[in-house]
Amino acid sequence: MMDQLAQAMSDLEEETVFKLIDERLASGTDPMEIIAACREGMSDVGKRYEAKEYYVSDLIMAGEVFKQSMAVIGENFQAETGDKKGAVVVGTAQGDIHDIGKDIVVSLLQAGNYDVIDLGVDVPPAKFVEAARESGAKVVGLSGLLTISFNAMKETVDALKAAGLDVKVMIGGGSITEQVREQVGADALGGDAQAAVDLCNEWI
Amino acid sequence: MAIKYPDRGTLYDENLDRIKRVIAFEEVDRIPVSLVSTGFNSQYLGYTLADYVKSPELQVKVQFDAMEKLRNFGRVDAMNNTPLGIGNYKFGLGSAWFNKVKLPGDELPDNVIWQIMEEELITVEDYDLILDIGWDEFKKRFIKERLGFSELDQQEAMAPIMLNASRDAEGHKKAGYVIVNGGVMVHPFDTLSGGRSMTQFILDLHRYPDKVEAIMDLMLPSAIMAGIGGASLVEPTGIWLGGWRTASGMLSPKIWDRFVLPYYIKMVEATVAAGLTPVLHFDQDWTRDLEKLKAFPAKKCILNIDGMTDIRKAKEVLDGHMAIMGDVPAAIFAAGNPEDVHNYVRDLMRDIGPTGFILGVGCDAPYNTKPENMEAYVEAGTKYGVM
Repeated sequence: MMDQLAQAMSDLEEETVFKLIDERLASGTDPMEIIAACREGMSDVGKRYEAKEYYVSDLIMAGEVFKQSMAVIGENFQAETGDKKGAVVVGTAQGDIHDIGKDIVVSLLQAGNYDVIDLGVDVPPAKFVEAARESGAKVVGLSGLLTISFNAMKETVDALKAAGLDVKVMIGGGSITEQVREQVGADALGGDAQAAVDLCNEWI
Repeated sequence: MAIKYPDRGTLYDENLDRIKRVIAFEEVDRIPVSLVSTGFNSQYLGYTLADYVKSPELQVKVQFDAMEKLRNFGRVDAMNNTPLGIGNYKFGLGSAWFNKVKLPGDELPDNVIWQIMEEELITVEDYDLILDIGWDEFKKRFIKERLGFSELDQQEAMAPIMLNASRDAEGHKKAGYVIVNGGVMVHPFDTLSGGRSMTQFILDLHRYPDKVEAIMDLMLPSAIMAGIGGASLVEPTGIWLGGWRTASGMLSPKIWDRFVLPYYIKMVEATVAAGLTPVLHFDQDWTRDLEKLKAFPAKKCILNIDGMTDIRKAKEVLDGHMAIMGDVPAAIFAAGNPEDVHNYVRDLMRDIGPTGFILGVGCDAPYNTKPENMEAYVEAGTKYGVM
């Protein structure tokens, strides 16, 4: 049986989540344990999405609740980063300003204890290269809703290779297909947000 | 920039009869080919997107000239887009989505497609204001104060479209093109989520569901009037009932059943009552709720999908009830080759025809469509559509 906070997070019971976090912080519970419970809940959200019980709107809700939870806990605690699984660079490809899908991936990866470098939207290839180099990330995730992102994704993959960085590249977004992945030269296509997490779990 | 519209005699009547037979699930001699490609048209004819968005006259011209050029490769029987263009894109798209718009040649490079912002332009405090003053008054104030279009600006934005509407609509029909979609009716969900931003609106649905529902109820009459009223400029066979963020793939059944379907039912009823065919322009994935679309009246609507809904499942569930238009996806146009297009269209014709089907582009052919792929689409649609 899941921890009560984890269950509330999984059930998207926003008020219960914040109430339990406040109670546990007040009672002196180790913030790392509270974070772990939130992460467990988010992991369950991912499973419920894969089981088609949850949809994109539920992932958006979960991401926001998780983000706000971390902000509340973070006010009381500076999280150690040493125990993170690894760094992942994520951004929406140049020319595209859509961020909903990218933000869901960021939330799930953070919940999965990855150190996520979120570059935002309309990100030029050089910025992906710089972020990957500086962070030592082993995975770069490129998001794009529009077909104009295809060329930018290819340029990013080419730039990462030219920079000699040992990274895996995953791409995802509304119109991305296996044919696009092949043309772009990415290592994998993430069909949905949970797939992005699964790929990182496999690669890191 | 005046267009010389050719007179193709009875071609329009023949094409119109064919479309009506499709909607009624009657036998046809061949499956109609429809087209919608706003961004692609510019590229196809050597203009930038910046040129396109800045000129209402060019918007009309490139769409018509592109269809005429594509006639060299096969038939183009219907257009799934208004012949009048959008005119002022910041006003046209901004007032539909209640948010700011970035344009090529302005905030964006010349050949990057226009993009709608995700800013929280409607605040949660505005909900009480809307309930107090009504949606129409709020909309008036919003467009003026937050999108920056005074009443004079709005009239100036609409003027180019209104001035030549009759001439251009009749010209397209004289040239043989059935205008399957002559306007857009926007679901209150899409408008409100556009103004709140998707993320904030999703939170609102969980936090203030009753208030959101009350506001959407207030918005609906205005949305219906705008969709039907806009069509009167063109006298098309139908109008789009837009479906973007309302897709089943985006929303849980609980949210979809309460905040999406009941409004579409009323939108469809009003559209049919106005003598127009509801073209359910349903982007993203609607597969989960196909069965529920049977709530719409039989043989009155067209389900217009973009490659993400399972079109074969749609055929299985809705055959005999609702015609389908679609669904060659953007990725094939932009990243595929002519053989890919031919194979995709051939399989569609085989699996979704022979009755109740109009070949269509998934949503809108992207700006970076390879010209040879669009030519292959028209060619394949003509070749494989003969019954």
